[in-house]
Amino acid sequence: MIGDNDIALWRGEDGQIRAWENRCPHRGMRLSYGIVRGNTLTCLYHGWSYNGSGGCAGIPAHPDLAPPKTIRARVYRAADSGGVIWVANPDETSEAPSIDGDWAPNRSVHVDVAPANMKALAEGIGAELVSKITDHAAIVRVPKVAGDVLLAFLDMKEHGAMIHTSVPADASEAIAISISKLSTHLRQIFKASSAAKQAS
Amino acid sequence: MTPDTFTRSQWYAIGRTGDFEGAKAKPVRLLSQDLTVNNTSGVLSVNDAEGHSLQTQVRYGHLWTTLSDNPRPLYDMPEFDEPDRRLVTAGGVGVRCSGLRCVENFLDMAHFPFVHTDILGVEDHSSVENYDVSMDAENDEIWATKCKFFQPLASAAATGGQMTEYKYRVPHPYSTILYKTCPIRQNVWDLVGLFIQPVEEDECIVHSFILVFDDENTDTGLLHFQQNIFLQDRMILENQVPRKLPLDPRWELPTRADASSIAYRRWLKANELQWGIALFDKVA
Repeated sequence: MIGDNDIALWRGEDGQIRAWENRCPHRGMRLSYGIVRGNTLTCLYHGWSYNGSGGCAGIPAHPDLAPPKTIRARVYRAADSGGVIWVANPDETSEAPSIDGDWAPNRSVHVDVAPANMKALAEGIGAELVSKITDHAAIVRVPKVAGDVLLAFLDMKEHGAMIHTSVPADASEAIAISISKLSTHLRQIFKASSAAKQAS
Repeated sequence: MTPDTFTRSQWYAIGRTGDFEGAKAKPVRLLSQDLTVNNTSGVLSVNDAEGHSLQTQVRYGHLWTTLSDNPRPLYDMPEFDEPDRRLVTAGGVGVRCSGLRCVENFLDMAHFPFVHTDILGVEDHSSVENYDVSMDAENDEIWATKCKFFQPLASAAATGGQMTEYKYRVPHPYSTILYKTCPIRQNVWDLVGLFIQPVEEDECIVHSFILVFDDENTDTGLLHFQQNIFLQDRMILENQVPRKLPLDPRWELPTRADASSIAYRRWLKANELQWGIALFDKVA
C-alpha cells in the first residue's frame, strides 16, 4: 500500500522488481492474482498480459489485435537495495536508495500505530541513528549488537505500519536472532493503547 | 446516496418463496433499507422499517418487492410456462461488490477460458467472435445475440466440447438471463439467469436459477454445476477495484469482446442510474 493505493509487486525471469497499481486497466481485477510468465504479468480475469514496463502485450479475446498503446498498467517506481524492496509514486523524482554492501532481509513486523518518524522508531528499538536513507529508513546501531542494522517503516495510516529490518549478509545467526526479537518487541511499543498513553 | 429513480422503480427478488416458510418479521435488506417479510398462512407480505406495506408478487420461483408505488413492470419470461422444463434455484449468495458488476461479469464470454478453465472455456480457444448487440426499444432491454464460444463442458448435461451458441438479455439493471443451446434438444434454449438483490451500493445477494430440459441430472447435480461456476466468478467479483461499477471511460478500458458491457454501461447512463456507480475522483 502507498497511501490508499494497493500495489502489486512482481518479478519476471529477468529478476527485476516491479510495483504496479493493483488493478487491471481493463475491468479492475487485482493484478496480484495474476500469473507471471517470463517477463510478462497476465491478469487472471481475461488473460490480458502486460510487458515489464506496463504496456498491454496481448488480449486473448482478440489474438490478432495489436493492443492499443493506451492500455497500460499504472507503474510505480521500484528498486531492490539493502535486502528491502523500495517503492515510490510514479512522479517521484529522487534517486532510489542505493545501500552499500550485501544485506540479508531479517524480519518484518506489523504494528498497530505508525511511528511518528525515524527517530521515534529507532528509539523504540533502542537504537541510535547512524545514517539516514530516506525519511522512513536509516542505518542504525543497537548497543550490545555488533554491526549495523537497516531499519525501515511503511506508514499505512489507519492500517498501522510495516517495519522491516535487514542485517549485513555476513552477520552471525545470534545477531539476526537478537534483531528479530527487538522487532517483535516493537509490536508492544507501537500498540494502539501505548500510543494513546504516549500522547496523553 | 438515495437510490435514483430508475433503481428505485424496479422490482427485486429477495428470496425464493420457500425461504419464507413460517417467516415472522424476517429481516431482509434491499437498497440500503431494512425490510421485513411475513408469512401469514402462506401469503407473503413485505414491510419497510416504518411499517408501511410494500407491493409484492411471487414470480419465477421468487418473492419480489419494490420500494416504488409505481414500479416499472417486471419483465416477462414466457419459458417459465413451458411444460417439461426444470427449474432449479440456487438460493442467495452474498457477494461483496455492486450487483451491477455481477451483471457485467455474467454477460462476459472472454473470461471463460481463464476463470472457468476446462468447463466453459479453454485457453487454446480464447477468441471471442463478433456478436450483435441491440436495444429492444419497446421493452427497453438489451440483447446480445449470435454469441458463439467453444466450451469443453457447457452444462451439466454436456458430454464433450461444443461450439455453444448464446443469447444474453438484460431486461433490468439487476437481472440478466442467458439463453444457451440445449445440448439434448434441437431448436430450444436453456435458460440460466441472475436475479440480484442490491443490498448496498457495493454489496449484493445473487439469486440464480436454471430453467432447462434435462432428463439425466438430479437437481443436486444441476445445482452443483451452477454453484461451482458461480463460486469461480465470486472470487473475481470480490477482487475487482473499485467494488462499485465505474462508468467513466478513463477508469476501465473495454475491447471489442466487451460490446455487451459497453451497451449495458451506456444503458445505465441513459437511464441516469447512479446508485452503485463509482465516481471518478482520485485515480490518475
